[in-house]
Parts: sequence; structure tokens; C-alpha cells
Amino acid sequence: MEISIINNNMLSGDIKPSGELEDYKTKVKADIKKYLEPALGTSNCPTCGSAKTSRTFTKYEIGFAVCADCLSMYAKDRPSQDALNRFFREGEARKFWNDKLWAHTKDVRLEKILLPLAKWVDVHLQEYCQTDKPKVAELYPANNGLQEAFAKLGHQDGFEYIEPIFPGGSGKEMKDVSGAEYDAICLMDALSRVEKPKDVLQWTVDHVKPGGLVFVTTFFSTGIDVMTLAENSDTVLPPDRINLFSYEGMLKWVDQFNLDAIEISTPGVLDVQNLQRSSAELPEFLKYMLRDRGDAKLLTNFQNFIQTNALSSHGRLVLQKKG
Amino acid sequence: MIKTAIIGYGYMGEIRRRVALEHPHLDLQMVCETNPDRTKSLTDVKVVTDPREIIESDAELVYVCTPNNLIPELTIECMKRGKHVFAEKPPGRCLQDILDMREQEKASPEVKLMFGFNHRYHPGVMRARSLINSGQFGKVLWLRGLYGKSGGKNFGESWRNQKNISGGGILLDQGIHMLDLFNYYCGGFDDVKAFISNDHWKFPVEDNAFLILRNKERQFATLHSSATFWKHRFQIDIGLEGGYMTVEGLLSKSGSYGRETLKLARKQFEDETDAVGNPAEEITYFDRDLSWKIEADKITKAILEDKPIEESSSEDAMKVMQTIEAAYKDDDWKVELDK
Repeated sequence: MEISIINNNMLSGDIKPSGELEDYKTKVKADIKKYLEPALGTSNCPTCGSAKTSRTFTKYEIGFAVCADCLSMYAKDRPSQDALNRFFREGEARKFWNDKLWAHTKDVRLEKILLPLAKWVDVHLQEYCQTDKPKVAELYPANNGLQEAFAKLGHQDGFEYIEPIFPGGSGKEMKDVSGAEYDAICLMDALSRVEKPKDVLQWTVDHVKPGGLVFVTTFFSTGIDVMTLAENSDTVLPPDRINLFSYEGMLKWVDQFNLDAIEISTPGVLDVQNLQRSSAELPEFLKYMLRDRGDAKLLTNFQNFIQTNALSSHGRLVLQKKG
Repeated sequence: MIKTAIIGYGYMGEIRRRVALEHPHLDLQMVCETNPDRTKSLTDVKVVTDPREIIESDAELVYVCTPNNLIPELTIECMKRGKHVFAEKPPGRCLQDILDMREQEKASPEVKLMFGFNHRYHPGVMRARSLINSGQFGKVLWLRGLYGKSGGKNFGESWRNQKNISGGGILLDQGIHMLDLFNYYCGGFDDVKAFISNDHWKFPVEDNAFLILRNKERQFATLHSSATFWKHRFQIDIGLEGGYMTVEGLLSKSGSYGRETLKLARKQFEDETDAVGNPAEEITYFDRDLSWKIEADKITKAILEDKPIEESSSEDAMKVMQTIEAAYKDDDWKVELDK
């Protein structure tokens, strides 16, 4: 299995300028009220199904819980997928994100996030894919997904990129893909933002060819900034992140879905910055290390330690369907 | 199922047996080993002491895992009888050995002949190659290889240091892997400069070799192959137009070469006046070695689909032996072998 460590000198403010981020959050709260609150159900842990919780909190009027059995963090007040689809398609927050926040940070995001992701997918396709022209699909991507990044790699003729599809969804984005099989499916932050992540993963596994690949980026509840800051963490941001899986919970899923783990890494680069920037009170030692000492080399070494030991809240997986 | 046999049940024979038993297309039927102590625990396979029993058997694929001096004759005899052969590296003791095997291979077009250049299939090595082939980093400019071990307590007693059995020392035994990787990344090298020495261990074979290589595309490579690395070391640095990569460490049974990692970084400047010299690096750790299985998959696929051996072929074997012979010749290093 592979574990990846990344140093890309990215600053949190590069991709989320604080002023615009606060505006975005205000709009998210308003859209939650409009689109999600009327359609909230109650959920057990989406990772392991347990009803036992070790703690609960509320963020943007949505109740969250930490599973007592697997440590995953999830929205116990769970919006329906239809409501989520409307939130992402029609909401002011999404419009603001696309028109302002994304537009102003697009170049940095392309360089530091999307292109590296596309290259990550590409290199694994080269190693593991049996065909010269793999069929690659994306589910529930943020923004326009990886299409532009793949195009920058010059893969227009290299592989067939399927536009984002929403299994079980509705509206014009729905594509008729019944019976389709793909060489690879990308779930970039997808599992964090859907009502039933296990169903989405099941659909994915059902539609990937034997030997095909599943690429997942996701958020781990066992990451240091989430575990330390919980509701005060910007990583916990409904409804984009209503499912934060524990590292161990995700490993169990890999087993349950009979997948081979080629890579499980937490190559996040912003955990230390998130802890430093947060207005929340930190445990004494972390406060001393990250704020009082704040030595640049120490901070880099610490982020590397977090990455190396799968303790970042940002995770990525390359999974292969057996057979 | 491909009826399979192994000749030579030392370190490599054990590995090949384990892989064959787990492989869905290989049916391991016989093992040949002259030392009965090594095979006394084998109960699930027929054990013989005379390789002729395997050569004359109906085995379709034979793994030849013997010392170097025995590889050519056994390989040739198997091929004469229409058997496919997977032979360990090095491919004999000298260049002439591989040339003889290739001659028989040509005379037996129906057989597949593959050699155990296993390092090609290590995860860090393969990842580096995928990245090179992706074009993301541009052309390879140079390679630098360090590969060595300390020898160990009974080093002098090893057949690997007896020239009539081995044909050469550390360069032939271990450095050959690195030379093969150089070819794997760059296609081949034409010019060879070398210093060869046995100054420390004073065996009749080399304990250190320093090589510089160059090819027609003006790609350069250097290798230090050593039996005096008190800390075991495997490292290949790859300099490319757009960045660099380093594969360091090697997944192995003992773990003595360290954790296998690939480090890479992109060049971060165009104008030299803005040189930073410390680009952000990405590191990948690999904890799973599928190289033995991949080798078995490759020869199995070639046999079942009647396709040519495209990697770790006799041509690949010949190329590295040409380089080694050129290195010995460049430093006037004499390895005179009894026939």
C-alpha cells in the first residue's frame, strides 16, 4: 500500500480568502434554512450504522454526532439527497462560490489542488489500467470536477472523460448510465456531501470493471484539526461535509466492499494552519507548539508527521476492484 | 494450468515456489535440489536431486534458480525440449553465456525465456517509470545509482565470491539490477567508463565498481555498486528536464535496505537568478511488494497468450551483460573463468 506526503507551500488563504469565506458561510446558513431544514431526517452513523454517539453538537442548525463505535463524525440531522441537489444547484451559496470564491481562487486551486489530483489519477491509470484509453467517470464533484485539469494534461484523446453523473438523482444532470462500466470512477470529496455515502460507494463498485480503480478524496474525522476543533473547524462545514469518516471506518469499508487498497494517505497540508488560524481554544501543548513557538520548521515537520501517520483530516484513497 | 518445476531450491527457489503455489495458472509439480537439507520440509511437491529429471519431464515452465555457472546449460537444455524458462539473474557468468542462450532461444521460437530482473517491478521503481512515461517531467537527463551491501560474516564462503561459479562480484551479482533499471528508464547505454576494485575483501572478484555511462541521446548514468556499504543502500536518483525523482529503499524480506520510497519534486524556476534550490517534495511510501507475483504474471500471460516476452527478456539480459563486460574491459579487470 502507498502513503503519500505532499509539500506544496499552499496557504489556507490562497484557496479560501477569509473575507469571502465568511460571506460564503453566511449564505450557506441561509440556504440551509431554505433548502435543507424542511427536509431533515435522522440518521445513524453512515459509516458503521451505529446509533451510539460519544458527543453531539450543532453547526449551522444541523445536528452533528461523533459515532461512539467508529469515531466518524456525521450530520445526525440528515438532509435528503433531493434537498442536497437543490441546495447545490439553486442556492445562493453555490452561486457565490462559483461566481466569487471559485472565480478568485481558480488559478491557485487548479495549480495546487486540481492538477495534482488529475496527475494522481493519471499516474495510477497508467500503472493499473488494462486499456490505452480508459473510461473515467466522476460522481458528485465539486465545481466542474477534474475536466479542465485533465484537459490541461492533454488527455482529450487519451481517455474518455464522462461528465459528472448523479446516480439516483433527478434533474437535467442525470445521465442514463444504466449498464455502463468504467475503468475508473472518481469520488472527489463526493462521499462527504451525499445523503447515503455507502449507497454511492456501492453504485461506484457496481459500475467499475473488475481490476478498475476508484479514486476517493474525503475528510477524516480522525484528522487532527477535526478532532481538536470539532464544530470550530472549517473542515466541518455542512452540507459539503456532512460525512467525515474515521480512518478506521474507511478501512472497514474497503474490506466490506472487497476492494484492494493501493493507496490510503492523508496528504493534507492545511491541518496545522487550520489549528493556528482558529479562534478556538487549543489544548495547552498544541497552543504552545503551534502559536507560542510557531517556528516555521517545527510547523512543517509537524504537518509532515501528521501526513506520514495518517492523522490529517484530508484523505485520499486509490482502491481497486478485485477480479 | 502450466506444469511448472524449479531447479535450485535456495533463497530464490523458495520465493519462486511460494509464488507458484499461489498463482492461479501455475501447477508446481517438481523441485530439484542437490542439498537434501533444503528440501526436507517439502511434502506437497515431488523432490528430485538430478536436474535431468526435470529436463526430461513434461514440465512446461522451468524456473532455473541455481548459481550462475549452471544457468546457461540448464536453460539451453530446457529450451531444446520446448520448455519455457524463467532464469534468475545474472544470465550466466559472462556475455558469451547469454549469447549462447539467445542462440538457443532463436532456434526454439515456441519457447518463452525471461530473466529475474525483479527490481523493475518494485512499486517505487514502477511509479517512477509511470511518471517518466507520462511526460509530466520531460526527458530524463541523468541517472545516479547506489546499490550495495556489507557482505556479512561468512561473505568469503559464498559462491558469489568464487569466480568460477559466479563469474564476477558485486557488480555482476547486485549492480546488474541497477544497470537494468538504467536501461529500463533510458533504453540503453553505449559508452562505459569504469573503475573496478577488490581492495577491501580481496576476493578474486570485485567488491566495488564505479561506472559512468552515456548513450547516443546524451543521457548519462553513474553507478556505485559495492560490497562495502556497511549500511545497506539502494537509491536511484533521476534528473529530468522538469524535476527530479529519487527511489530509495527496497522492500525486501530482511528490510535492511529501508522503507521503499519515491520522492519527487518539480523544477520551480525558469530563470536561474530566481533559483531557490529547495523545491517542495512529494514523498510516497510503498509497503507492498508485488514484484514476484508480477513476474509470474508476465511469463504466465506470455505463455498462455503466446505473446513475446517484452520485459526482462534475453535482449534486456544481453544489454546489461554487454555493459558489465565493457566495464571490466575498460578497467582491464580480468575475470578468467574455467570452462
